[in-house]
Amino acid sequence: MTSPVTKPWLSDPAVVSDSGDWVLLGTHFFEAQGVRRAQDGEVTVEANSQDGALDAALQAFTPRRAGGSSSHPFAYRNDAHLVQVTAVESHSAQGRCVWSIKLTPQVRPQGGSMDEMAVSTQDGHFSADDIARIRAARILFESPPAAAAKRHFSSASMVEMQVQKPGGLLVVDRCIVQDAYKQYYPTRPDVCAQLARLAAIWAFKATNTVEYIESLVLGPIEAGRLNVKFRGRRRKVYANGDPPLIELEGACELLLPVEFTRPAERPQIDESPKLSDKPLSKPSKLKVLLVSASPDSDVRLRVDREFREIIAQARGARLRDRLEFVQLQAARFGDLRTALLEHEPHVLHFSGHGNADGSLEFEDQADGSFDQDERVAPARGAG
Amino acid sequence: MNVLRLLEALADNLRLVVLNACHSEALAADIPPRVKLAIGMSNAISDTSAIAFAQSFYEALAFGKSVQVAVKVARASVDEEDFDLVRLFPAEDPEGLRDQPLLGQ
Repeated sequence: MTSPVTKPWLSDPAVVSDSGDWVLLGTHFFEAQGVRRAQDGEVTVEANSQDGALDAALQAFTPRRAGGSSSHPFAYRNDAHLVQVTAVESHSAQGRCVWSIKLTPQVRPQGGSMDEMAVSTQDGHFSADDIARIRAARILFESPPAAAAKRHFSSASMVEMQVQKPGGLLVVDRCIVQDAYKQYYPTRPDVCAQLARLAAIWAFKATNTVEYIESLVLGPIEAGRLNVKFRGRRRKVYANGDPPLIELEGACELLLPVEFTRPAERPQIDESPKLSDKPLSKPSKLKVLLVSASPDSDVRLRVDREFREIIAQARGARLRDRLEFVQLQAARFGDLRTALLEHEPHVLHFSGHGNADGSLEFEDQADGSFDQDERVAPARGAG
Repeated sequence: MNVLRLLEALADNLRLVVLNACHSEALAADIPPRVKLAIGMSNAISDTSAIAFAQSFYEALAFGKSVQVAVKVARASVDEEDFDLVRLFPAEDPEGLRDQPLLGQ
């Protein structure tokens, strides 16, 4: 793996202000079908089985009969808790496995003296709110100060100690959002913002940085930097007066390994012109994908002849060397997709049945547009 | 329709979709601008016409003709009663896409 570098052209217009149905449980993210909260505070998360890895992970949450149950981070939408898993059940519905996980949020003891501490140094006084603000920025977009600052017991390192909160549920020794992008963008650029958002929300709650997250917006990514907007309320300490508000806006440098930034490459910022952008008169070769689909063997024979005639006739033409034909016969819908991906043709030629409703027939009728269409389509020559 | 979504997703290289099938006009009309040009048949076309159309259309392209000209050539090659079944889309073509040869000189 190459060292992380920022690609200035990494951009993504997506703006995410909500984590949707994504859930963080333990160290796993998954998409929930439903999250219910009972009156007694018990939370039930339902999820469809997606793959074996997730199934195994969820199975592993099953509380042990002997021994105390362990606690896990749980984040959903704008809230996060430490939870105990009280039950993991699964049932099958319509051939799919559906998981149901029951969680009991733990009530965290209200901040002890170590939880919220002001720091006074020769550089000035940092209140607990100041420390929380620095930590919030760290979670969202600020990288920790360079290691050089930690060499001696300086005022900076005393503040840094409080920002990081060592010994807590989560040590904020790095930018949480940046870390999440590094981890999830390579495989899931589509939902990475949702996952990073949940990771940040867990970090806010786990470190008691804020009590309520009012809004957290991630995106868009511009030139390798993710725009971040946050608004959250600290816990109310004094009966009179509003709880302190933390409002932050900044950009998080996304340090992604270079090979993983490729999928994020957007056509509009790709500097090398694509084939379709080139003048239409200058392709070196014109690739034609000839596709036939017909369950009817008579039609199949006629289509075979059509393809033969096309190829034979073009052979006599002046630019024949620059015309390339690829044939795909008895195509199912999926075969068409594979052939389009594999051959990247300039021309797609489809021969087969067309129905009066404007749909095409594939070998497996998987076009999706004529499910109820049981009738035998007229042969092409029927008209 | 899945076919349309698939074409839209993979439209990078595609410049022309030819639907040599009965009643494919409606689908062909929906393809641009996903893919710049599309040809469909407005009714049920006979097999001899469908073959003659395809043969002469690609021959004309291989001689460096534009899609528009190739369609005209192909129309002239099909059975008399089928010539106006071949439809080229988009019907409005301000960019002049129909007049550009697919295969250059």
